Amino acid sequence: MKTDVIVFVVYLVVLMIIGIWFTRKASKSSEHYLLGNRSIGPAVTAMTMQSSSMSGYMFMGGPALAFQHGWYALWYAIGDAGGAIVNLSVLGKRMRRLSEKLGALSPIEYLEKRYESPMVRVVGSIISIIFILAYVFAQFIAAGKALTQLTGFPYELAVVIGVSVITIYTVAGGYLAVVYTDFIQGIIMVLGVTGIAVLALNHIGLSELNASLAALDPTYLSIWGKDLAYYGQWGVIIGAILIYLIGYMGLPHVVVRHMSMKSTKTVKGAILWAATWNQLFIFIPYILGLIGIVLLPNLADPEMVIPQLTYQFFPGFLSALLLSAIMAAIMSTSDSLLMQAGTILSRDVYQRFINPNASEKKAILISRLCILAGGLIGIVIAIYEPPTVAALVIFSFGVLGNSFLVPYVASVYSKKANHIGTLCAMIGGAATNILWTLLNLESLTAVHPFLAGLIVSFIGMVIGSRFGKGPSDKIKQLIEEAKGKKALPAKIEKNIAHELSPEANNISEILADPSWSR
Amino acid sequence: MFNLPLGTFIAFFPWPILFIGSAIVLYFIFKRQDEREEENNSKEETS
Repeated sequence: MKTDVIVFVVYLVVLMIIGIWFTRKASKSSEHYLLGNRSIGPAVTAMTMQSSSMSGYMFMGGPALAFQHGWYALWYAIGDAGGAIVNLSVLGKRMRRLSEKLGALSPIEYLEKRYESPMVRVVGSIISIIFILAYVFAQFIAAGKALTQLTGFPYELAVVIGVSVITIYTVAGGYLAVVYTDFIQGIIMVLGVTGIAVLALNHIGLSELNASLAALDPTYLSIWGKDLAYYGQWGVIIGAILIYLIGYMGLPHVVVRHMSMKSTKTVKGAILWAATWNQLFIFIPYILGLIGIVLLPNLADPEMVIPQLTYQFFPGFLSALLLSAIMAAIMSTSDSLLMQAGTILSRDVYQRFINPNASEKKAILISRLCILAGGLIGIVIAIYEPPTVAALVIFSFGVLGNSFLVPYVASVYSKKANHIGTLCAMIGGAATNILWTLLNLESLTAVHPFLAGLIVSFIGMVIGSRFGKGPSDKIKQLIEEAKGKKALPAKIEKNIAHELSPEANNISEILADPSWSR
Repeated sequence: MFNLPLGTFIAFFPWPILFIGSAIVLYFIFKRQDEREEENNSKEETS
């Protein structure tokens, strides 16, 4: 057996052991199984958030985009590199507080409780189940493709192996297994890409790379794409940046990381961890895609640029590390998506509408069965029809982001946002993105589908919230509390104390006066 | 720089530094918020 396959098998076994290790802890209660008992610290929160966000797209779709369009593809990387900072600072503390006060265990349950409408949960569940599953199936396809390319296994066998491992550890260990395996996978991903980047840039430096690209076609170096395909199309470029800069705030499997943090104090450390990890990881796959243009001019499948580059130029241990890194990216996203699909099916559909009196034990069992079913259906679909990974990921990501971003942000910042506004935002955002993509309105309007969906979703929230009942006083109070207690600056507090002290002294004297007490 | 057109260099290269810088600033802002909140909580408990 080749070294890379041995290293990879050991890696899979370690993941399974982690899953089994957390089985008992996860089975204690629904809160343990679905949210890790809200006990996740800053490093693990940051790494699970980022490794879940960075899917197989980063090793396949992203480099393929750079391979086809040149430096223009880096617009996507910029948004991605700042996404975690925006997500954690905008939603982190407030969503952590509010979700606990509302007693919500799933991100869709959170929306129902915040907007006080079961309809929000029904619509939210339908949209999230469809597009989370589409997203996870894209990951399964990527897993199969990567394993086939790297090990020589038949595609079907590769899909079965990859998906089975993900499903087994997720079913067994629940959320805790997902976040701790994500932590390890995040480290492997960053080691894998930086290792390959160091060797690749040793092979061809950045200046030499750009000179070679300019010799092939100077427009590879342009910010407008190859052949200046997007020249002056700022609507497309802003959409490309925004989709990953703010889009993560609309992904249920990512925002749930805010709900599972140990406390609001976790946010500050998580921001530092996530920002550092992002800058080390995100730009490199795109640069490797650019290197592929020069070193692999006859590459048939652009999504295979990184594996091909590594196997052709850096065989041996590094290719083993690469295989593990690619699979880490795919698996860390797949497990989170699968976990979330299972959570929504069990918590938001079964426990909410089918059997509200289900015991904790039964609820956990249903969650496990839903995750298992997701895995099995995923295997069948991935084997049956493999479309391109990049297209499916961007589409599902965009629809989820457009549906939920505005409702999640408004949930903690607006006391006017109500259930009608949220329904308009979710349905309007999703429908716009779907139509924009299917009718290819991007080429007609020069506006990215994500930007179009975001605008419609925002307008839907603003206009819709003018109709129907506003949030109850209790919800308004909770939103106020979720902001956190605003302490006055120390200087002002000192002055207040100083100014009030004569008055306080007088009151004390009056109270101490025995004649007054009579 | 790096044989890139100036526009491309300016568009893409400053971002990692900006993001790390803003993460450090946010860390200290949130740290201060946490400390104040804790102070507030302990004051409330003692009163």
